[in-house]
Amino acid sequence: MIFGMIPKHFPWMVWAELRKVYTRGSGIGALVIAALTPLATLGFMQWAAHTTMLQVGTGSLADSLYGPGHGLLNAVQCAGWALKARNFFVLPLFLLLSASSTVAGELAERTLREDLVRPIPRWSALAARIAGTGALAATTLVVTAALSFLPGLLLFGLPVDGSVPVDYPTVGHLALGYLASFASDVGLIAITVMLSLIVRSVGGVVVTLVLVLMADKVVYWGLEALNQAATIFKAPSLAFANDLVPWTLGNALGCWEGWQTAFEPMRFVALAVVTVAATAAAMARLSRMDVP
Amino acid sequence: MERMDAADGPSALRVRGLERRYAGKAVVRGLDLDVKVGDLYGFLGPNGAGKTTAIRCMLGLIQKDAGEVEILGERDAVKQRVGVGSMVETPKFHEWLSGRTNLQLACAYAGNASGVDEALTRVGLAERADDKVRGYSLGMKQRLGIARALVGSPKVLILDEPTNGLDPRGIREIRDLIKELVRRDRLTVFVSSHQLAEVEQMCNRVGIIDRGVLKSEGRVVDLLAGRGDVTEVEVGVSDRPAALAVIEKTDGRAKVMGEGEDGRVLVGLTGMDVASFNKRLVDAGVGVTALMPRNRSLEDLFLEVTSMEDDLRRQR
Repeated sequence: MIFGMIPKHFPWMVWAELRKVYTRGSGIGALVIAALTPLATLGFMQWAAHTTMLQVGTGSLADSLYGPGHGLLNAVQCAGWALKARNFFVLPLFLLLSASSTVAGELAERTLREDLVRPIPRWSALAARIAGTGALAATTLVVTAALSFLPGLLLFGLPVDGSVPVDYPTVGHLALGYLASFASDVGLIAITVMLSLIVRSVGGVVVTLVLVLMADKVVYWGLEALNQAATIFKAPSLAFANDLVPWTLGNALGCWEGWQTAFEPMRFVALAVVTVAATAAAMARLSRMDVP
Repeated sequence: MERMDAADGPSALRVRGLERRYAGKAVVRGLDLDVKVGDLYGFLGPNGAGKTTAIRCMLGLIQKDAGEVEILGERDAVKQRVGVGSMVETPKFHEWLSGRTNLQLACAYAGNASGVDEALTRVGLAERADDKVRGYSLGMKQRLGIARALVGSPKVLILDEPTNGLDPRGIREIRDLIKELVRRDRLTVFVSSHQLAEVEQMCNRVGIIDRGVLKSEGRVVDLLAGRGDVTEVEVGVSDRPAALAVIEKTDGRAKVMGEGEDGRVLVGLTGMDVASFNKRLVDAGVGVTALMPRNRSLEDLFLEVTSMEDDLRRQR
């Protein structure tokens, strides 16, 4: 029923959002950060591989980071570190700004209403915006992956059997890590869009989301403390805390972190629930709210 | 003004019992409107009368508490917007993009990719189409707003204060453009405005709203000629007593309303047109030296209609 209501011209609506997203300051900023992050990461890795200035214990910094013989210095490691750097604060902030600009910004600037007077169901305007910002997130991931993996391949090559642990992540694991990161970005975009319809200003959305994540961190620490208490005091009644940890927002959004070792399925389930719930709540709210 | 009499045609925009409250206070109360296909309909009202709220309800931008809106016979909120172009208050754009790109984005949402260049040409912005909107003057933005309303091949245009903030030349340009859209492109245009003289020159029908209630609606010529069924005429006659005798014999269809200018008699006609009244006078041997439908300006009517409630309140 819902899909029957998708406007035939929905792809054009997404195209319109892409034109806006890729030309806004936040979108351009995200692409620049996505390009600079792997280059900076590569630069650091090269520097760490050759510096003699720093010693860690009795060995060099490179031995500490890349193992004896520097077997861990390879393209997978480069792209993995670039992914970590990419997902650390700055780029998610630009995605947050981009997503909130498309909804809260357009509500405040009253350009959203110009779309809503067209023959479309309101939810489809949000779906197009989520798709547009999601495409930006995907592009930043491709840029980061390409600018870290390809130079890493040229400079250091692929992991060589024997020089890395048996369970060392492969290119496939890395690709899954980037895919998981995309899922995490979409979740962040959905939450931002939902908050945008409540707060209605870009700055307000950023502040609110930061506060939400801080509160979430406090909850996470509380659950960890209960988990520790369950172990120390041998109290099975507190074991529920361990089950709830993956459901905290920060954990759900950080589902990509398991790419090197093993993904935690519950974090993906939590992310899916959060993403679907936030998207549905946003669409329901927009369908009933006044857009003067 | 070209006669654009569409009073008996099919409805392009029909509103019944529209209501909207803010914090319990009714801003629009039981609004009924009937805009016929081919009308250039002026929607008038003082500040805070509920014009913009009513327009936003019609366009589905804000929820209505009660009532129905039917556009081109369609009641479904999404489907009815297929044939509608609109501009609500000061139009807003993505300022970092060009005028042309803004229209292309509007086309994408309208589901109709054609008409950008034509719309830009119609509003005289073809040469500046590739400039960023942030460099446009207010008048250019208003014109771009109308161009945006035109993309998607609408049949009905809903324009809220399209001349807001424009200089006299800009006002005239927009007025001429709107008239041309009705005349040449056969569009139905619903336009709200504070500019009474402009509406009088431009529109064939008007509705006057005050405190959320429609106070008066009809053809401009009818409303200005008289209120309701009464047509007011000033009559200059050669023999006043004979003329009064003729009036007495009309069974109340002609009544003396007062004194006109230069000794003329002000007569109110009900159920009788001016030509028939003239014939009666002539047949009775009364020389008719002047027979002038009394022309009130729209401003007179507007002030009269919108001050009614104040008068009633004072009486209470």
